[in-house]
Amino acid sequence: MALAWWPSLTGFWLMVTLPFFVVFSFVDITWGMLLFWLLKPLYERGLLYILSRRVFGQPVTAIEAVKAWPSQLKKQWFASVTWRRLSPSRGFDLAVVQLEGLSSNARSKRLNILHRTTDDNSGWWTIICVHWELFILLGMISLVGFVIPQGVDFDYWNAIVSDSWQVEFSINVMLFFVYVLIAPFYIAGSFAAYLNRRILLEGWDIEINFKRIANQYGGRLNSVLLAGVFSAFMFVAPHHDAMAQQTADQSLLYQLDDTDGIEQQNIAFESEAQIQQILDEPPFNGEEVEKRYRWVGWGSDEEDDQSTPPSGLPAWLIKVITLIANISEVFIWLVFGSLLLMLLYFSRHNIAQLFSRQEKLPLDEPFEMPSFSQAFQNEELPDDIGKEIERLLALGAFRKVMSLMLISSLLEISKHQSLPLTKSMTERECLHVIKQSVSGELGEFMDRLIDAWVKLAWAHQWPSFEQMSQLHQDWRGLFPVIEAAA
Amino acid sequence: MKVDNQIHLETAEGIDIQMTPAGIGVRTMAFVYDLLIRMVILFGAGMILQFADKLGFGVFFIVLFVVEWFYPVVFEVTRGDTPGKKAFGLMVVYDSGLPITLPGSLTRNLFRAIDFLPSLYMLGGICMMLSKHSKRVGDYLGGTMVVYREKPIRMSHFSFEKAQPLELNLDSEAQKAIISFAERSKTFSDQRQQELANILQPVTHKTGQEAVINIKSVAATLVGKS
Repeated sequence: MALAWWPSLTGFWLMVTLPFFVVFSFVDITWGMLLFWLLKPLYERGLLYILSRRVFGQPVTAIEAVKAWPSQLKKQWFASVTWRRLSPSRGFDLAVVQLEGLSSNARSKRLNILHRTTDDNSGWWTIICVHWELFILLGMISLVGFVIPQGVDFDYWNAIVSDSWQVEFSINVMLFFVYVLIAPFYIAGSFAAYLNRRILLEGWDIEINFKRIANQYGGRLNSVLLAGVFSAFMFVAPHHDAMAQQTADQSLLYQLDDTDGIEQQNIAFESEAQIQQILDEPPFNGEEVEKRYRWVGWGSDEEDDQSTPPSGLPAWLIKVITLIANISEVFIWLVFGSLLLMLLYFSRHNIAQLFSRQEKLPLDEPFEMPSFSQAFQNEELPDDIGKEIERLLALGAFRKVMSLMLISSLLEISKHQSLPLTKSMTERECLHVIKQSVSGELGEFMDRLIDAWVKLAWAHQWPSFEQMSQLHQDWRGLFPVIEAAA
Repeated sequence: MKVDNQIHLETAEGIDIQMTPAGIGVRTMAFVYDLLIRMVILFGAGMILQFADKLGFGVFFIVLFVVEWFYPVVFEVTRGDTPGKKAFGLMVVYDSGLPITLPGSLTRNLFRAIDFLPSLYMLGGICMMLSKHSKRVGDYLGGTMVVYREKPIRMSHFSFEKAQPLELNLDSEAQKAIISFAERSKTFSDQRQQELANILQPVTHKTGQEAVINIKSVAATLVGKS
């Protein structure tokens, strides 16, 4: 939700909170930020306003939301920034106050019902969000720490607790950025939890759909509905304060734009000069240039000193341990070496191919018979195929005869040509492949044979005896080798 | 019908598979769970190895390396989820919805190192929040995502009494609403059921308990039970 509608959500958040942030920062850097944090539930109401309308397909831009925002604040604003500020389920409860407009007893009863479930995650969502705020803040501080050059000491703890205005302000800016990032997610997540809870509890989605059906049958217009369902959520005309504030913001922005040009550059030059000045002073000037590589030894000197640690272990145990260490070192190197050799050995073909310019040899994969020809499924092929066929032909077992002829001719053809047959091929595909490599009489025969086979196997058209014996004759003529072998 | 962030993957057979990418919240919890398990392992290893002096240090660092880098890989490849993810009902899959294999798992866990930067998973967290399927950098590179492991959906049954069949001309949304009313009617109180059913009065011309029965029987017709 937060992602889909981020332009208006983030836009609203920036427009409302940025002036507050700037003002509070200049009033008092520490307490101002606390106040800013304390008022967060109030800004969040605007986000909920946008979300609650977007869910029902009513587009709200950031500016509209800013206009409507003051009217959303009226209800129980004091409670939500004081004793309810720290409530973990505040995002979840906000909808009850703001959208349903309940107060005091009615509110607590309602919340009691909404929270009465075995998996009440409303509070956990707040806790997760708070943690991510912290993580990202700390992440940004350490990012600053990373990019600070090594010569300068950067004390994280000092940076966080520092009293210096600049440091505190920059941390506040980071915090502000974190809020911009997290707040829409927090409110969207809470609102989604609230909607889901209501859907489970009250069949709220069903209610909306039923109303739509009723409207259709009642002959009324549909468009009234969207507004009608949410009549509880008020929409109040634009407020003057917000307008004034917004124009003030805009003029401020323009002013900032005006000062940009040359003045900005001057500032940049000045600060650069200042930085240079500081860098020239003693703590930074310990520069030393080395132009040759210098051997600094295998490790630090400390390690050498510790080669005979004053441990409480008896001497023989140390010896044993050293022995084990030496042996295991040799062993590990041996394992490593043999692994390397094994790797080379197993990939020798690949390596050889890398160096040779030869084309890839055709792989001699086992010849796969298409599964349709497997009428002799688990049986071995008879030794004397010719005689077997004659015997079966006399019996009238055409199916077996044809299967045998198919297999033997496929095998025979594949002896001379490589047929890329696979198990999953159908008869037609098989024929197509054969026709590419075989032509003439043989091809024509295979055509007839497979055609007859298909008719028999799939269409159950029993071939006539003449047709069969014709096929048999041709087969004998085309594959004399098999006959000879017999 | 709930508010969710389901995505639909279409298979080659033209069937939509629904998956719900796990958001930042539940993934954080799963991560913490895994972190605790890893810490227990390392603590145990440390306790044992401290008796072996320098050799112990060496072995400990090897153990540390293996546990930190291969703990998620091993679990993801063999079972599709780490214990932490399992505890929260998550699993790792490819973007296409296929189960994770070694290359994907290795990539996504190697780039943990980038997600971690500059500290406390800031980059990964921001990336997850700003991406549509809650992916961190490693997920992008490995082409993977973390989704909820959904229990197989069972047809829920509802009891109904035979009533006068209604001839209604409903679109699919409306049909779904009526069916889910019947299926979920057990979770609503009687009053609420009647309230909901009363909304449809202009259609059913009935009120109260009678309307509830009526709608349920319509639902039964829709799912083909009557």
